[in-house]
Order: sequence, then C-alpha cells, then structure tokens
Amino acid sequence: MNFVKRAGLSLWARKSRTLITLATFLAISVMVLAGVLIDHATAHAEQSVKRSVGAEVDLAMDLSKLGAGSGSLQAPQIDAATVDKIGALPQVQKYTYSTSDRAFLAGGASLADGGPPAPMGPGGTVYQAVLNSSVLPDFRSGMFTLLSGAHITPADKDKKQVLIEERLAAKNHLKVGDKLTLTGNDEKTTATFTVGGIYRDPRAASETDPDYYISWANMVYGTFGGLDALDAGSGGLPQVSTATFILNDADAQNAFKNAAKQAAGSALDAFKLDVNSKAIQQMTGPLGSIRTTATLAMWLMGIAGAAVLALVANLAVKQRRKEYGVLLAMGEKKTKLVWQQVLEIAAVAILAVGLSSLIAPSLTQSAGQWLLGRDASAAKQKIDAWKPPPPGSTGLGEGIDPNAKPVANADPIDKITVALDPADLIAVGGVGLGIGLLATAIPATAVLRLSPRTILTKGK
Amino acid sequence: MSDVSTPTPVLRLVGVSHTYSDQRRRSAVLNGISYSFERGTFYTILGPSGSGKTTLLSLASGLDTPTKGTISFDGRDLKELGLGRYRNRHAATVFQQYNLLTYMTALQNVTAAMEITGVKPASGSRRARALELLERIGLDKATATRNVLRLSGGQQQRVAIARALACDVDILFADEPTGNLDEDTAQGIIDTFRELAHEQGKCVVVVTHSQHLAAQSDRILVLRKGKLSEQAKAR
Repeated sequence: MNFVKRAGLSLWARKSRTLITLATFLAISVMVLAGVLIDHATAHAEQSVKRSVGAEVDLAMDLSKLGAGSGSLQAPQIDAATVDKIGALPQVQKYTYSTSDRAFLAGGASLADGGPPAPMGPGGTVYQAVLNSSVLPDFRSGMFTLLSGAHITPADKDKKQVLIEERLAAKNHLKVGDKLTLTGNDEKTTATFTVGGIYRDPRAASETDPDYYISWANMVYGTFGGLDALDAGSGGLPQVSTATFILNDADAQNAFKNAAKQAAGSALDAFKLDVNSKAIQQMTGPLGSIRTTATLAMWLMGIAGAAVLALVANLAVKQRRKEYGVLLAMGEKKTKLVWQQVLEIAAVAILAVGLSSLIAPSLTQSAGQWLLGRDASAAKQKIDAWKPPPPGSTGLGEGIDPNAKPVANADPIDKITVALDPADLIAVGGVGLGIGLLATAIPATAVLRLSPRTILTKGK
Repeated sequence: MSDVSTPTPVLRLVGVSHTYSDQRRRSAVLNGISYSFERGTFYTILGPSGSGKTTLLSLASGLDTPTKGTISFDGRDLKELGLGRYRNRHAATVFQQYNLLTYMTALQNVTAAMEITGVKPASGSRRARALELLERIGLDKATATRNVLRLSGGQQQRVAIARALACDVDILFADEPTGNLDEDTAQGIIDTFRELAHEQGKCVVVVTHSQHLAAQSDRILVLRKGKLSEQAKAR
C-alpha cells in the first residue's frame, strides 16, 4: 500500500496545488450543492403551499358547448344531487354549490345606503343560495370576513337561514338570530329567515355585482331550503349553476377530474372543471423565480468549475510526468500509479464536499432567503398596486386586466428552509469526484501508455 | 564488436538495433549490438557524446524496447519476462538527471524505492537500511531527512545512487554517476560499485566519460557509430 503513503506525501508536499484543487472543488461543490438545496427547499415550500391551500376546482358552464345540440342559449344547470355525488369523491375535502335568484327585502327592511338606485326594483336584491358559505372563494381568500354568527353549512341546507353583509345588517338594525323577511322573484311568495351570520365585504357600497348590478353590500347568501321557500311551485331537485370543490391534495387534480366525469356522467357535458390555482401561483411565483436563478447559477458555476478543475488536474498530470517515469523505471505498476492519483483526487474531493456540507446550507439559507425576500417583496408590491376597475367598467378600457386581480390573503412566500439531505451530498460528491477522476484519468492514461524512457526524456 | 560467450550471462544483447524516427527522418543510434554481461563484473561504457550510450543503457535496463534484436535476462527474453517486472526485481538505474521524487526527502526516496521493489532488509527496518546506505555514500541523517530539492546536485546524485543500491537488484546501471561529485566522494562511489560487483556478485554497468572511472572497472566497452567494442585495459 505504499502508493497510499506516496499520495499523502504528494498532497502534503504540494500544498499550493492541493489548496488550489481543494478551493476549486469546494467552489464547485458549494455552488452545485446550493443549487440542489434551493431547488429542494423551494419545491418543499411549494408543496407545503399546495397542501395548505389545497387545489380549488370550479365547476362552471362550458361556453364552447353552449347551444350545442338543442340550439338553446339558456345557461345549463346541473342538479344538486349530481354535484353531491362529485363532492363525495375521496379526493374532495369540502365543496359547495350555488345558484341565485332575485329577491326583495320585505317586512320594512331596506337596502344599504350608497348603492345604485334599485336596479331590480324597490328593495330588490339577489338571493345567492349556497351549500357551504365557508368554501366560497371570497371567504376562502380572506376577502370576506365573518364578523358574527356562523357560516351556512350543509347541515343548514333545509333551514331558512341567511348570511348578510354588515352594512345591510346595520341599515336594518339586524344581528345574529334576528329575523329578515324576503319576497321571491314572483314578488308574491314570502318567507322569513333567521340571520345566521354577518360578514364584511371590503368593497365600497357603490361597487356592484357585474351580473345583477346590485351593490355588494346588499347581497344575501342563504340556504337552498330558503330559496325553495321563495320559489313556490318549482318542486323537483334544486338546480345549481356553479360549484367549487376543494381537494385534499393539489396533485390529485387529474384523478379528481376523471372520477368526477365518471360519477356525473352526461350531466357534466355542458360543464367544465377548471383548476383555480391562482392563489398557489401567486404564493409560489417568487419560489419559481429563485429556483430558476439558482439552477442557472448552479449549471454555469458547475460547468465553469468543472472546466477549471479539468485544467488543474490536466496540468497536474503533465507536471507529474517525470514522477510517473521515475516510478515506472523502478518497476511500479501502472495501476498503482493510477490509484495514487485517484486517492489524491478523492481525498481532496471528500474534504471539499465535507467542507461544502458545512458551508453550503447556511450560505444557501442566507442567499436563498435574500433572493426570495427580494422577489417576494417585488411580487407583493405588484399585488398591492393592483386596483379594481371603476364601478360599471370591465377595466379593459383603463388597461386593467380583470383576470389579474390578486387573490387576497395569498401573499407570496418569502421564507424557505434549507435542509441538507445526505443523499444530495453523496450525489454532489459523486459528480465532483467523477469530474476530477475523468479530468485526471484522460491525461494520465495518455502518459502511462508511454515507456519510462520516453516519459523521462521527452522534450530533452 | 565483441561477443563474449559465457555459460551464465546475466544479461545478453543479441543483434540490438535502435532507431529514432520522427515525421521527417529516421536516425539509427545502435546498430546490431550483441554482448553478454556477467555477474560479479564492473563494466564501464565509454563513447563520444551522441554515440548512443544512454540509449544502450535505457534498452539494457528495460526502460525501452529495441527496434530490432533481443535482450534477455538470465536466459529469458525481457519481453517475455516483462519490462516492468525486470525493472522491479532485477535492474536498477542511476540516472544522469537523478530523477528523484521531488516531494519526498532523501530518506523517503530510498524507502519508497525499497517498498516499490519489495526489498526487505535482512535485519532492521527499511528506514534503518536506507539511512545506512545514505550514510555510506556520505549523507548524514540530517541531510537524509531534508526534501531533495533542498540538496545540492552532488547530494541529489548520491541519493539517486543510494536509491539504486537499496533495490538490491542483480544488475545496476548508472549514467555518469560521478559527474557532479568531488574526487573523494566519486572514489567512494566507485569503491561501492566494485564492492557490489566483486563481493555481492552483482553486474554493474556504468556509462561515463571518465577515464579515471573506466580504469577502475573490470571491463571497458566503447560505443562508437552504433557499434560496441571491448577495449583492452591498460596494465
């Protein structure tokens, strides 16, 4: 095993070269490891966001199929029982569906101030029947806040219960448990509802719902049982126009879509299931950005470092040409010369990878955090700067994309946690060692093919 | 040219020719040399510069293979024996340029050679044997434990000689081994070579320009125009 001793002596005696090789290896290891760590940390953070937010799949009519077959342009509807079947699928964590109809405040109640002048007639508003109000996107995003009482839940389905905005409640001195009388679309059927909850919608009373042009402050959310009570003589199964499903796992979207199509059959023909990943995209946008930056930096530094390492190793072999000749002249086996070289490179590589495992995590945490903080801050500013179009406008005339409206309570992720996985360290070490060995083996093989005399006398 | 036939030549060259060639020309350095070297004999090879002395030494010591002809050790063709094995077990060379391992001390150079050739001293450690050899050629322990790059040319040459001696081989080749040494040290080295040949039965082959050294050898060979001839020693 004398080549082991020789390798040790060689490394110790050629301190400058050893240090240069170590520094090069260390730079490569740290950069590559940092790239891997950022990639994993961002992926982990993204996964956490997906898990916490879950995936929202919206059932909405498919405009491309509107009018197909029957030629009717009437908005399609699906019965609640079919939606319940979809909601019972194992991928679904919770769900809701809704449909709406015109209703009128009765019993002396009046609309909140500040809205447009009675677009649906005196006391006219919209009764939005929902299965589970807590699943409504505006509540989930945090735009709406429940101030008192409770949400409408599936257990309340057959009750006559409503959830009203605080300005409507204030106008009529209503609190949770009070009664509110409404008249249905036929302007005859009347029912009395219990105020089950009061919520806050931050939009100005002057802002209106784009479908009915009523003030957001006057919107009434209620149970399906309540809608049935206002719609005398309709009978049959309640029909819904939209539904929202929250999945357990964001990655189960495709499985859910397939299962839903199977469960609902042709009832879904006029509808489509859209994944609403806007909140996830908004929260994880900066993560993707720094992952791209880190990956690019990792590759650039990795390739540049590998080139420098190859050059250093190549030069080292050429400088050691005479040493090879001397050792061969003494009858040393070529395999032992190769092993000596391998040991020297391996020793430096192992030391460098070991050091990088100490340096890279903290360095990556700081650098990644800085990069992410910068990108998240820029994304947050962009979100904060977004303004809705003025009342009565789609916003397109003002250059505002209504689809670009940010999701509330979905701030971009600005923290990552870097954790070193031993498998990553082994992979990075293996790649580094491989590069070093390859860079050494090629010139070494070229030299070792020669006779000792040729090696020793070359150039003389 | 002389072909000395002996019953047991340790090294035998038969029709050895060597030609260097590059893209432009071919240059014949050795031309059909046949000679047998015996154990227990101290040979010197003389010849003008460029006559091929170093080439002959390289071929005989197994550092390279001849373009034509065969070289055999103890009756076995070196190609059959293996050049690496031959260099490792049977032949050692003292190079004109010393060719020491520059990242080692003098002592480590000698012990490394002993480790590579697998030499185990009859008594004591390799280190003790290496120190003994170094001291024998005039290098004390303090000098022996210094990196060879910090030694003078003469000291490095002595380390190279000690390294070859440490290998305990059958044939010792040396290329101008006393060129950088003072008269006393050079004489000490010559005495060592004579002792190796006469008392230990080794074959010692030295390439030199020194008539003084040649005069103390058993046989003087002269290489001229690619041919080797034996020169009668002056009595």
